Formats: sequence, C-alpha cells, structure tokens
Amino acid sequence: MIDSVRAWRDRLRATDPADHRGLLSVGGIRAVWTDALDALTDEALEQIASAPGTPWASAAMAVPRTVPTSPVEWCAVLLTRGTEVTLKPPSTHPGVVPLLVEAARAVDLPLAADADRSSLLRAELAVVQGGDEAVAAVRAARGDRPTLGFGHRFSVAWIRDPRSMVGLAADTARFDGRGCMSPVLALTDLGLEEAAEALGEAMAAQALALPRGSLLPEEGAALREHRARARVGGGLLAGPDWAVLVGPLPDDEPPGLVRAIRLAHADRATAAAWLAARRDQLSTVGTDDPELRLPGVRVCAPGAMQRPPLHRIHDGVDWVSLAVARPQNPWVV
Amino acid sequence: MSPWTGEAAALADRIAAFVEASLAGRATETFDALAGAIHRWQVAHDPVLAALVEEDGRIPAVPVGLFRDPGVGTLRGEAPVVFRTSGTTEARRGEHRLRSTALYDLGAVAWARRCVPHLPARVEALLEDPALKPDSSLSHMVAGFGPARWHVRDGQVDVASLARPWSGPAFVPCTAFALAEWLEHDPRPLPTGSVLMVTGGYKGRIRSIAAEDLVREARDRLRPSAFVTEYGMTELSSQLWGTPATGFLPPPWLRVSAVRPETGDAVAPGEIGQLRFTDLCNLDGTLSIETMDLGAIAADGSVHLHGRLSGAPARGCSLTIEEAR
Repeated sequence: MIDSVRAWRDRLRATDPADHRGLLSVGGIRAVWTDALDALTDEALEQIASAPGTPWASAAMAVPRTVPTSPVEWCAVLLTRGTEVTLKPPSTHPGVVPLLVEAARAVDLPLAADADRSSLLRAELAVVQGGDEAVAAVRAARGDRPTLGFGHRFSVAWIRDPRSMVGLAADTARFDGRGCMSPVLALTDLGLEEAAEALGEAMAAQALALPRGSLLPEEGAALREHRARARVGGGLLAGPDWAVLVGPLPDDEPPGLVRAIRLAHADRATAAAWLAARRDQLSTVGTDDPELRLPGVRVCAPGAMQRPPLHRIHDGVDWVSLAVARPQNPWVV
Repeated sequence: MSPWTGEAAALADRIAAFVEASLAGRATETFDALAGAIHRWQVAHDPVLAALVEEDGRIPAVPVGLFRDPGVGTLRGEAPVVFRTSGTTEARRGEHRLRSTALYDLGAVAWARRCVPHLPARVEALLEDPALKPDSSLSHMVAGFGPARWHVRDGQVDVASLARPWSGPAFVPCTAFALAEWLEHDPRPLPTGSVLMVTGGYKGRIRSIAAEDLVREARDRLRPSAFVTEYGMTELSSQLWGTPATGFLPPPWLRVSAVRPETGDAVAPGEIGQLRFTDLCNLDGTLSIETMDLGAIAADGSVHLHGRLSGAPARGCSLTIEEAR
C-alpha cells in the first residue's frame, strides 16, 4: 500500500491546486499544497507502514473549510495502513478534496468523498477537526464509537530575536492566518517599537510574496474593528492586506484575524507563565527560545508553525499513533 | 436648564433646531455642516474617537464592538444615563452613555408620530418596565409615548397581565420573541384602533422565528388596525420605522449608508452591505457607527434588512456546526 501512497503523493505534486483554492490566492494554495505534500516524506511513510497494530477498517473525516489541505496527512497515514477513507468536504467549497480523490482513484487507493453527513456515522473511525460544538455533535451522533475530535485551539509565538519575525510573518501568511496553528499573538521581550517594525516589514514582504486571498464578509468587518481597537489601545502598523496590532498582554485568547497578529510585550517569566496557564488551549507555540518547555504543546521554530511534520503532538495527542491502529485498550480519546 | 454647557449646549440647540425644522420641511443648516461641527467637538472630548480619525479627516464609523471595550463617547466616569446592549453572551455589554435623553426623546417621539400618525395614547408594552430596567433604550423610548403598562418581567412575558381586558385602542410595542411567546397563549384580538409594533431580531441564541409566519399569525389573531416595525440600536439615539411590507424609513437627522464588509467601500445603491449610521442626535455618544447588520438602501432612502454578519469569524480549523450536520 505504501507504494500506492507514494504514487498518490507524487501525482498530487504534479497537480496544480489553483482552481481549488477557495478563499486563498493562487500563490497561497500552491504554498500550502507544497507544504502538505513535503511533509509526506518516504521515511515518515515507511515508519507508518511498519507500525504495529491492527489498522482501522474504515475512517471518515470532516474536512475543515479554513485549512483545505488538512486531509492530506490524514489520508496519507490512513491509506498507508490500508484503511478505507471517506472525506466529507465542507458544504461551502469542496476545496482540494476532488483532487485527492481523483489522484487516489488513479492509483487504486480506497479514498472517496461523500458530502452526506451519514458518512461520518458509518465509518469505524471518525475524525473531526473544528469548533467544539461540531466535535461534540459528531461525538453525540456516534455514541461510543471511536471519534477523534480536535476542537478549538489557538497558537502563539514567543519571540526574542527580531530576525525571527521573518519566520513568524510566514506563519501568519500561510492559510492567510486561518487555522489553529496560525499565530494569533506574538509575545516578545524586545522593545515593542523594534518588534513591531521588524514584524511589519516581514508581513509586508509576505503580502508581496504570497498575496492574500479573499475575505469572508465577517472577516473584513472583524479586521476593521480590531484595527480600530489597536489604534485606540496600543498601536497599529498595517498595509492594505496585513496588520500588526500592538496592545497589552491580553487576558483572553485574542481573536483570530486574517493576516493580522497581535503583538504584546512580556518579559520571559511573564510569557512563560502566560503560556503555561493556557497550555490546554494551545495548539502550537512558535519560538526562538530554545529553553521554552510546554509539555503537551507542539513547540517549533518560527516559520514552521503552519508546516508541521507528520509525526508530532497535535492538540496534546500523538495523532499518528491514534490513526495507524485500533487501540488495544478501550477507546478513551 | 440644558444639561450641556458651553459648546456642547450650543450644539444641542442646533441639533434640536435641525430636528424640528427638518420635520417641518425646512432646513436650519445642512446635515454635513452640523455633522462636522458635532464631530469636531466629539474628537476634542473623546480620546477613542480622536485615535480613529484618519489623515483625510473623514468622520470614522466606529465599529459597535468598541462600545463594549474600550468604550466610546464624550462622557467618562459617572454618566446620568447609561443604555446597555442586551447581549448576554458577551462578557461585557456595550454602553451608550448620555448626559441627558433630551435629544433622544425629541427625535424618537417626533419621528414615531410622523411615521405612525394615529398612535394611541395608551401603551401596553411587551417590554420590561424602564423603572426596573433603566438601561434598556427600547423601554426608555416607549415610555416617551405615553402612560404605559409593562408586560415583561425578568425576561418573561406576563401572560396573566396581558389577559386582563383593555378598555380602548392601545399602542402595543413588542420584541419579536415576546410577540411569539404571547401568540402561544391564545391572545384576544386587540381593540379597534390599536397599533402593533414589532422590533428586534428574529434569530436568537436558542431558536429562530420565521418573520413572515410571525407577522401573518399576529395579523390573524391580534387583528391590529396598524402593524408597524421599528429598528433601533442601543448605540443610536434615533430610530427607523416601517411596516412588515416596507423598509425602514430613517428620520432626516439620521443618515444611513452601506459598505462592503470585506473592504469598507460603499456599495452601489440598492446593493446589500454592512450598515453604517450617522446620527446627529448622538451628541454624547459618537456621531457615526458601523453595525454588524446587513441591509440595502432603496432609492427612496428606506432600509431593507438582510440579517447580520457573524460577530465571531470562523476560527481555527473552523468547521461550523452546520458542516457536521
């Protein structure tokens, strides 16, 4: 099966996803498409193929609309194990699902798409990424049957070196800042002016290199509101398609905004305490601080937040080990 | 005695004169001249607004979310009157702080009587008593229409008090949800000459009401002599009035525009956009606001609502609950 998955991956590499970009720009979808396929290294796939345990007979995944390439890695892992996979595409836009299915059909991999919700109920394993309500709804509908639910999390950066702002800006540009691995807040012990300028310069460069795609109406309205908030409460550094919103260290999770990130000053101890207190809500922390430790949270370098390797902690769990085989113990996730 | 002093008092006088003159079909000055004067005074007295003024000097439409945090308006500290938004799901409610309701009352009553000429003097309100809920701008507005009985207590429609017979025609203002609840209790037809007013959204946190169904049922069972609709916001001092079959008409001292939510650019006439209001009676608050409501402005100036923008953009691996259904 692994040879077919490699062939599937290589077919996808030769495919231009531009016509399936959804909200992203042509450059935007191509960038995240390449990232997603680059994560499927031969070595990673071989590790999955050789993992012990009994694979799931069938799995269904609800594809989130904001991270259109999210099913790529799930399909690769499950298909490598011989699991039959069904993708439920978003109702608003199928995204890259048709490309994944078409390439799979060409190499005889058992991957299908089904827009009907019942596909999530039929499969032995269901995978749901999204809002807590969506995860709860699927779990409730499936009862005791195995459901891997990844509810709402958010991501943050902790930056000590202005040179790291280039990587951080790349993280905000991937998926246009949508997705749970996209940083909504950068904490820094640099001077705020220096940090804002470095980050703004990098975000402006990203806006040229990787143009922003479309906005949903509510996203545009939220951007205007939060730009206004920043002007009142701290400072705003912005171009037409990006924004650095300077403000105090927030108590609550900052709102997720398209191509915009909040920047707040914190000394090292304060930043560590802030992150530790929200550990259960965090998906990814991007940092240039090699001493940062956050057990259960994915910690990576700036620039790698939205380009995760296949083997990683995802929302506090080793998702690959859960996907490759049925658990020996009663299902507890 | 005017609650305002100095330049603000002079502005309040100009606003009152504008309201009265425009209702009489005259003009004391242009809308833009008065708006400019109010805006300059507000910028000098509201640091939040001052921070939002762009280099081009245009009057910024302040997003309504800023009324919640950090707060908008020329009044800091204690305020004689505070109207609050009803959003109970929000950690903090938006506040419209006023030195006085004099301008609010002047415009509200005058425009209501212009739009609804035969408004009965007696009021039977499916609203909370403003004496018990002084931060409700809607209850405050209705109290200005005449002696009223209030039939909502602690958020519940008081069906027993509504069941008592009314002696004559009444003005019956209600929110859509209160009206729906009342209709579930088999109400008697209203006395001849009564005017039914419905306001507020039809989509709640728990349930949605089909607006057309509610209107039809209310007409069939309550048989009002007139059925009117009202659109107002806590952050505004002026209201728009209409009927279920027409759009909402703004008064001459309230200018409405619609913009593309994605960009903030004006939409073409008649196109649906995010609504902005510039309210000359908003002397203590802020002149111009950007709402989360969607609507289209017809050639006659009437506003047709088309729902609301989501207040919380999809976030994270944002699979909406609808995706899972």
